Amino acid sequence: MPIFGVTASSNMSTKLTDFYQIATTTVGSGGASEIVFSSIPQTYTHLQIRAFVKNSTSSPYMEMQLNGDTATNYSRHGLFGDGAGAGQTFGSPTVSYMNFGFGSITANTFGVTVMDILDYSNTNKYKTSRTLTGADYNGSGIVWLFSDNWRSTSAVTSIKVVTTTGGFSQYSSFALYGVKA
Amino acid sequence: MAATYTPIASITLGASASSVTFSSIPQTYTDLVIVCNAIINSGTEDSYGLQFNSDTAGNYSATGLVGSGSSAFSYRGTSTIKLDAGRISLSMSPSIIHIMNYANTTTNKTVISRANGTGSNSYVGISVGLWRSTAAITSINISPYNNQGIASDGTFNLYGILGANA
Repeated sequence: MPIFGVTASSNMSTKLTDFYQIATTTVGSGGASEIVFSSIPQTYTHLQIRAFVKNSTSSPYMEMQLNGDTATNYSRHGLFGDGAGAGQTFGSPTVSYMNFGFGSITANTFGVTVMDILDYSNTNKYKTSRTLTGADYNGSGIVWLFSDNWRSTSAVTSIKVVTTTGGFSQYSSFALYGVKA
Repeated sequence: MAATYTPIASITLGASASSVTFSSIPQTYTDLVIVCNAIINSGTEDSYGLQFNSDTAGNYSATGLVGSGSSAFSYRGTSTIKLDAGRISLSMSPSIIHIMNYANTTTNKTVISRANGTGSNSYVGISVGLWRSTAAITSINISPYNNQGIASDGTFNLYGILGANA
């Protein structure tokens, strides 16, 4: 592979063997009100969701529920920078959803999320997620780091993602991966 | 289930350099991830500046958040000539830069990153950036944002992640 003034090597055939595809959903021209990953295999150590999202309304925020639990068994904390000064934090100890991240509200521009759900199949621990998310609009935008918790020892078998209002626009995509320790 | 997170290219600097470039990037993945660990050649610390497909016009922007241990601040770049992502300092500074949906030719491209450093110029930072282009990304040039150069022994690894049925 040509590199300017440096030594480079290329290996196109070797994969890191601990990161696996599970499922991908891409939103079509009609949009979508929710994204659901169900029947999640219990054979990995952690999950990662990688999303590329445009929301259909002016609300950029997305929420997530696990195993269909709609009760107030979640808590969430976040740290953000919006270009206007020091980052700020917020916390919500008992809510009915986890943060999923930030979708874009501007045409042709997409927000992104990289979320890790740690020890998702463990039946002795509450579940914790770590999320890096944000969108930039050339003059405005925001970047977030979230850590959320689901107070349940159940293994995670399904994940539902929605927007706070409206739904997802065409070309939004959500990919679920499994990570083995 | 198929394994992914495929190594595409790896760069280790044998001498200081002004920048590194990944070119002829395969268009067969969903996302790209750059994992880098390097020392700045002069000055104290800075962001990396990314340029895609040799685009040196003001088509980039970014929003970031940095904590130094004594203070936190947020910053923004608008219509810049580089995309701000990751950070580099006087000590080895690991950064992970995600370039999402890089091969699509319908939307602008969004990049998100996290980074940290150690030593006298410690910090932790996150940023999100935009390249206002619908072109598929075929090459990436990486340099310290204000052109301070990269010291010898810096490493830059490029991976491709392919979603299921993508």
